[in-house]
Order: sequence, then C-alpha cells, then structure tokens
Amino acid sequence: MTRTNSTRATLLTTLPVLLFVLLTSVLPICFLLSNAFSESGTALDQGGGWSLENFREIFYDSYYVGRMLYTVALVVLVSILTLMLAMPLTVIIARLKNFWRSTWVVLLLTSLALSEVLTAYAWQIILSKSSGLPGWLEGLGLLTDANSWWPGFPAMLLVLVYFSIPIAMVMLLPPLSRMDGSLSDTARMMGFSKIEVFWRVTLPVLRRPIFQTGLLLFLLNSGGFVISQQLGRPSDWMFSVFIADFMRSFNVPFAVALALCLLLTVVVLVGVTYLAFGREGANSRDV
Amino acid sequence: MGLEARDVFVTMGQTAILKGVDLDIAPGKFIALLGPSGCGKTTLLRVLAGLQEVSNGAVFFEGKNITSAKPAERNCGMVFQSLALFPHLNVVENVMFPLKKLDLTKSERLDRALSLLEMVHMVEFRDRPMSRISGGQAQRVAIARALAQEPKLLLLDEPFSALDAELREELRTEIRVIQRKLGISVVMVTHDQNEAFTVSDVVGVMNNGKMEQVGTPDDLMSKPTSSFVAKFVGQRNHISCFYRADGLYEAGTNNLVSPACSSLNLSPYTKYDLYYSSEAITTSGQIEAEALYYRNLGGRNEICARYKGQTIWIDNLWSGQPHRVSFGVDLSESFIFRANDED
Repeated sequence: MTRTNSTRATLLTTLPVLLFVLLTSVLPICFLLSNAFSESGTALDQGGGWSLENFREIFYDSYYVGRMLYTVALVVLVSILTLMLAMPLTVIIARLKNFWRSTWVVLLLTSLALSEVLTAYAWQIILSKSSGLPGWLEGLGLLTDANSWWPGFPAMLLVLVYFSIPIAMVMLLPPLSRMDGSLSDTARMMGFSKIEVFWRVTLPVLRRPIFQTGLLLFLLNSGGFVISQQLGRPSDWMFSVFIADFMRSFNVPFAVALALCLLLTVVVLVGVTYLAFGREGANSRDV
Repeated sequence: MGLEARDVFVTMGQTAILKGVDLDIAPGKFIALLGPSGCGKTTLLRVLAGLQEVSNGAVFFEGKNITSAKPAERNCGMVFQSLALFPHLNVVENVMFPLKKLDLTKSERLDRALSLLEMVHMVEFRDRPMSRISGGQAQRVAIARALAQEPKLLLLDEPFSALDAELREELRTEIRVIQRKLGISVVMVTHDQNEAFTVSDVVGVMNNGKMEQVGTPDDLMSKPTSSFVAKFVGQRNHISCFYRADGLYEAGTNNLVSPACSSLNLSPYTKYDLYYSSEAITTSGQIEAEALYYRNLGGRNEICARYKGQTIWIDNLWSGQPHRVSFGVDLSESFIFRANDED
C-alpha cells in the first residue's frame, strides 16, 4: 500500500469517529462555552445578547484570579504529595507475587468505584469528634479538648490526596511491574543501597509514567469540587465550587465564563509543562 | 585460588532449583555454564553474584567465605541477559555510573569510562542515548560498564542470546580477548553448546539443578560421565537397550544392537542407555528405522530417519535410498550408561 493510499484509508476509518465526537462532544461544549460571552444572567438561547460582561466581572478585581491561582497551587501540591506517597507503595506492590499484586489491583479498583461524595462523607465521620478519630484519641487520653478535624485545609488536602492515591497507583503499577528487575540488581551489584537505587534508577527510569500520572492527577483534581466543598472551609474552596454555586443559582453564563477561564488556565499550564518536561520524558524508552 | 561453590542448594517455595552444586573456577579462567532452560544455571550465576540467597552450601572467593556477603562486596561485575543498561543515561554516563561508588573525581571517572569505551570500540558513540544504539553496541556498553569497577570476576548471563550469528561470533572473540588482557575470571551462562565450546576454557554442564560434569570441551565430547552429558553435549541418538550374554538388544525386543563387547564390562540382564553418533552405526544390527529423507554432506551421505518417535541422523551405508533401514551400533564409538544412572 502506498503512503497516499494508507493516509486515505486512515482518514476514511477515522472520519466516522471524528464526526461522532464532533456532534456529541465538541459542538455541545462549544455551544455551552459560547454562553460565556452572553450577558450576565441570560444565556444566549434565552435571548441574551453577546457581551464580555462576565469576563469583565471576573477580572474586575483579583478575587477570582486569586482563587484560580490558589486552586492551581493546591492541585499541584495534591499531585506532588500523591506521587510521593503512591510511588513507594506501588514499588512494594509491584514486587509482590502475582496473587497479592492482583489482590491489590482489585482493592485499588474497588476504592476507585466509591464516589467522591461517599469518600468525603466517610472522611467527615472519621475526622469528626463525635464518632471519629479525635473522639477516640480523646477517649484514650491522648488528646484533650479535641475538636472535629474538619472542615479545614488539612482535612481537605488529606482527602484529596487519599482520593488520588489509587488513581496514581493504578497508573504507575503497569510500568513498574514491567520494569526490568535487573536494572536494580545491576545497581545493587555496583554498591548502591536500595534507597539509592530508588532515587538513582527507579525514579529516573520511570520519569515518563510518573510525569504522565502527575499530569492526569492535575487534570482530574483541577475540576474537583465535592471534597473541597465538604471538607474545606469557604476560604479553602477550590475554583470549581464557585462554578457549581453559580450553576445552582442559574447564572449559567457566569459559571461557564469561570469554567472557561479554568479550562484555559489548565490547558496552558499542561501545555507549558509538557513542552518543558514532557519531551524529555517522551524520548525515554518504555521499560 | 579462585571462586568455589560448595554443595549449593537453592529452594524457592517447594521447588528445589539447585541441588548441591559444586564448582571451582580457577583465577583467570573462562568457564561456561551450559544446560537446557530451567536447569538452574542462571540461579547459580545469581548465587555467585550475591543476588540469590542459598538455602544451604557456601561460596568462597579467594579462600574467603562470601556466602552472605552483599553483591557489592564480591568484587564482581555482571552483564545481564537484558543488559540492564539505564535508559535514562547515555553511553558514557552508563559506564560512569558504577564509578560513582569509587573514590574518584569526575574527570577521573570520565577518563576511566572513556578508556573502557575505547576497549570495546564504543568511544565515538559516547554521547548517544541508549535508545539510539544497536543491540551489539548495547552489548559492548554493558561489558564496559561491568568492567568499570575493575572486578576480579565477570559474570555473563546469556549475553549474546539476542544477537545475530555474525555479531555473536564477533563479540565472543572480543570478550575472550578482553578477558585474557585483563586476566580476570569469567563465568558465562549459555544454552548454546557452540558458544560454550568456542569461548571457554572449561564448561560446566548442568541439568535439573545439578552439575552433571565440569571439563574441557574435549573431555565433555570424548568422556561424558552421564547419559545427560552424552546426549546433550554430543547431540547423539539414543536407544534403550538390554544386555544379554551374547550382545546388546533393543529393550523389549530381540533386535540386536551390537554383539557382545567384553571390554565394556556390561552386566547381563541389565538395562542400558546407548548414545551413538551418526558415524557409529553399522549394517550388522537389527534396529529398524524409517528413512524420512537423505542429505549429502560432501563425501558423506546422511539419512534423517524416524526411530520410535525420535528423529535420528545416521550415515547412509546402504546403496541407493532405501525406505527402511536396519542398523546396529559400534559400541567402541558410543557411550553406554546403566539406565537407572539417568535422573
């Protein structure tokens, strides 16, 4: 088959899929996003005219920009903490025998099946004074005058990381399991300790999947609002909480404008990060 | 005094991988561990490297018991089957990596790495990433890296298995030259008899977790001490036989394999395994085989025949190309072992 024919065949086979995606995803999203450019409080399809009023309001002062930067910083922190915890745990699971490794994978997938809402409620109980850890510790005499540990930033951060860990582990487990065990054996023979092997061999060799997992965590958490709203104080809330609030109060155009700002920020950040670090990762061989 | 393994047992779960292996490797010698897949040769190599704990037995290096010594304390380098080159480092960085553990400055490390790369003819590729060198080049880098810490013992785990025949031959020669130049001992695992015989001073033949025989290639060919070595090393044909006073018969039949041979001192009414090469056959016996096809080896005709489900090669001593042949075996050119000698 010539190259032209091959390109034509590829186009023909992908065209129906592209059309489907265009009709079911791209067009509705474009329509929705177009509402960001309608007058505040009145969507385009409800007779609202074209306007940049929503964006003027967003950038009127630094409030929303501040919340956006706070959200980005929080999500970066959550991604980093998650990777730091998930990586060594995944290394341990990857070294287990097949049966135990499979058991862990099933457990991780099961924990992912729980919704964000259920997880958040479960943690509210765990962190509450009445029936959670603070009460137990007080009962054991380890704490005095214990209060509930939620709402607050630490509780929110803890649960965001907790919720992200299984996702990261599921992402990291296949490359770690496939990683050639003789790489670490070689380093050990050269005199490197297990910790040195982890830092000097395992981490650099797996930088591509780690980077991809980090990006995925960033993307997933950027739009999260349930955990933030249920376990954080209003001052801790992520940007998506505001979007949800405006949706609930039927100011769809403003909510969509906020969502568009968040989307653009995330896309720009992911793009810049990929250009800065992703290419190097992409050049590394899969192991 | 080189490396010694004494009565080494390795058990994984309920499975015994090594069952009392003994091995002596004299300083400066090249030994190949030869055997079929799963016979325990890589496990033995890992025991020598310190990467595999032994269940019983001991390993000595230069007279010192190193059974429980860490891999890094054994002064040996290893080339793994997968080569285990670090994909995040380039060629020279891979060779410099083990030197980080030595008390050297960065420029000293670089100098040593470059001289090693020069030895394996890879210095011009020093800055290449690992993804952009060929299999043979990667092999050379792995050898250079394994030699970086100036080990007294180099362990090679099927290092050439992924290479084409020509490159394999080239690298075999090269590793032999390097070994002689540096005067180090080398232990190489292989399942390729040709590789084992062409490159090493001594070959250890392993089967089912045991060392069947250790000897020079000549010894193994001319004086196999077990039926496994006779069959595996010589790639000989096999017949199950029964000895009576007047001769050796095919087991369970009255087909004569060979007339009595007093020099072999065989016990009457005993089962034997007979291993014979293509050249050892005679027309005087009564072993029946079906000829499948013929081939001319330049002055010698061979028949590929089917005998009791086995494919055998025998010299064509008959005129024309008969469909069936009856043959016997010259015992003086064959190897015979009591049947219960085999595992």
